[in-house]
Amino acid sequence: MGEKNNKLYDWKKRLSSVHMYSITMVVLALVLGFGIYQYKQKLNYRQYLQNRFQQAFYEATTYVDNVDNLLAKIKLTKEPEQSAPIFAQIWKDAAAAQENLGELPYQHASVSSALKFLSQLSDFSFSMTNKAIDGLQLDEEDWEKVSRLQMYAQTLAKELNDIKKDINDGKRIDWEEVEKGGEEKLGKEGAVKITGSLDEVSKQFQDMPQLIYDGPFSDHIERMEPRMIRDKKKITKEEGKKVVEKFIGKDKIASIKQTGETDTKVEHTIPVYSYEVVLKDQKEPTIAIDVTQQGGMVLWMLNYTDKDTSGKELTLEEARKKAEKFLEERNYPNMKASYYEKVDGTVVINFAPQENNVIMYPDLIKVKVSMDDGEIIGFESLGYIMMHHDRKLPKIKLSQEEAKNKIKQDFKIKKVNLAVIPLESKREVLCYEFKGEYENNPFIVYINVESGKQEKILQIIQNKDSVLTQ
Amino acid sequence: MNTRRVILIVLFFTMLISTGTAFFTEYITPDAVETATYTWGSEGATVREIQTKLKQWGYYNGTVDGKYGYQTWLAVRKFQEKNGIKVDGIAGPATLSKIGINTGGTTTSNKVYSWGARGETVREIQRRLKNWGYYDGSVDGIYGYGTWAAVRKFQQKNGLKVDGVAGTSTLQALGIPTGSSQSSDSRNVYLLAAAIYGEARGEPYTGQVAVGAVILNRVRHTSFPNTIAGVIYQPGAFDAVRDGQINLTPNETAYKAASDALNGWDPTGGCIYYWNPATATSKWIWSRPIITQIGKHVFAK
Repeated sequence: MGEKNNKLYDWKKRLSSVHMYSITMVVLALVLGFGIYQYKQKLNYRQYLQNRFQQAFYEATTYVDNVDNLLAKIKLTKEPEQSAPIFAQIWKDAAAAQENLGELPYQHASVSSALKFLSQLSDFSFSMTNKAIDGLQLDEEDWEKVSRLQMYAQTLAKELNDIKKDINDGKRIDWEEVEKGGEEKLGKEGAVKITGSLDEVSKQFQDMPQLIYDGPFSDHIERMEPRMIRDKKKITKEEGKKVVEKFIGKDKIASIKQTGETDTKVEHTIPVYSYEVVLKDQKEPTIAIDVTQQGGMVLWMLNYTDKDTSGKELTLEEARKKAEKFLEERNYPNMKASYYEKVDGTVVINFAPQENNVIMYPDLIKVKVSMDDGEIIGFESLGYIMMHHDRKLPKIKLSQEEAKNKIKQDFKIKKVNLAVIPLESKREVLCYEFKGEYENNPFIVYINVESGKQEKILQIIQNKDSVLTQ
Repeated sequence: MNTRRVILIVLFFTMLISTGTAFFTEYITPDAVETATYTWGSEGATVREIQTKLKQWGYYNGTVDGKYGYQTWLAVRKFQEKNGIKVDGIAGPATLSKIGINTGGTTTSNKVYSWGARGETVREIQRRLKNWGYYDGSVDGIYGYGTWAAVRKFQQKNGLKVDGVAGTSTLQALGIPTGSSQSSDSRNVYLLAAAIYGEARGEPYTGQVAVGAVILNRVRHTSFPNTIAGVIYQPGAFDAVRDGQINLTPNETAYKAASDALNGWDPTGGCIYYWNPATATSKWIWSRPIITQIGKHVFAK
């Protein structure tokens, strides 16, 4: 007891020595200073972020305003050459608006329809720009689409400007609050509208009608049906298993387990049965494979065994032959390799069918081959299943010579082919395919056999790991 | 006695503060410094490339994880020994070029344009030099004295070796494609692999490919940004981006999954959302039509 008292006294005495006080004060001051420094820094970062968001918001508003004005103007144009530059402006401004809006921390649910609208508007305007450049008049339907798009642009511009007014009235957008989202707030009764909220827009945009045009973001793309299998019969899971056995080779398989099945009620999907395969020399499943419920075709297969490399390496030629044989045995005839890409001891080869000397690029199949032993370790046929069908090819109106004249003169042509190629809108065109070189770089140029229009230019990025076949 | 203790206390606090500061700054700016030499503790895509190559040739038998550890060090030494390079276990420019990795700027390639050269590229050189005021002769596609002098002037201004010969570096400075191969990551494999690693490491392989496929499906979708970086860094889109796990170095599996996804494998059948049913907090997400489940994740359109 006495000892304890003594100690306490001792401690007090020591602390009361002037020396100790000042030391404690210094340490406290240091800690405090450090704390304040950290706090200020945090405020700085926060402010920086708020400013970034604020900027993106103002820019999005400006671009949406522009788009709104331009859509009003374009209705006044009559000739294609009048509308082309305005459409080009809308194409650019709508894309910029989409980009800026996408950078803001909105909950995806509240902003997705506005983003979709801007993507489509931009994409639609690009397709209209092209139409106008081709000298074509916009038809009744096109104008109807423009009017409809203008209506939505007005709605969006109004909403954004209302928010801007709020800001001018002294309210501030708290982006952290926005990020947390209106979701919980909406659940409560009498919820307060957060400044900056776009929930109104999302409500009004919900029933936006389908927009169909010649571009990659057109709504028809999502609704495309798999041509190869749409009229085929539905198979059972057991039949699917047989397909797997046949595809991989019954003698190699130890067991097959069905792991999943697409709900057929979901629209615009290719319903599949998913399987996992254990090979005979393995304990765990190493192959995943999906078989379409309709028609029982293999949609894709991946063998993800971690193999020890033996140090051997096949040539691309040998790998291609293995892949060709694999495809032929599985009833994909006349497949022609067009492109190789080497990845980590494997090579992915692109194949497309060649029918009557025309290469059908939309019907793409990819085969992954191990460069080690030539085993087929991957297969992907979405393109084939979506697009393969008996095509009625258009009449060729342009001779090869005439098509050649459409290309820049010093393009050194090495090979010419006929090919069906998919445009970004998935529309297919029959083209002359000119492979060659320009300024020492390999390019492929596609010239439409009917119109002579240059549909596409591909530059082959030369890389030691990717090769274009001749 | 007293003073010693005081000094100790002060020391203790200074250490606490400095480590604290160090920790915070480290945490806020985890920047990777890329240098041309790679050694113990280096990380990233180039280390991965070194490992891949050495593995192919049988020098290395560890995992390709992009981390320069003991195994890699040993393999590099073995490689140096075999190839007559100074054996130090450090992958410097000499070792890298022997392995066949482009260290930037040292491409031994292709065409060189000099006195007497003719053709479209020479014309292009002249056109550009003329635009920038280095050249005032005619654009005739013939590499003569005027062009030679202009190229020298250009090289001098741009810190290039002044020899009047338009080689790879001069052409590149002029912005003329040289056709030399670059080990570029034009398809953003690394970024995608990092996102997959941050979001789905520990998931089955198909589940990792699936996460990559969802990111790519978003790039093609109307209501998302139109680039891989735009989709990955969209505010609030991915937890791994929010908490910084995207900055972890991806392992070999994530890398493979990323390139499979980029090559078109899509185990999700076109999905644009996924979540872990055990931890998902958003009610809205459950309104999406679910297509499939792989590992712990549910995938939806």
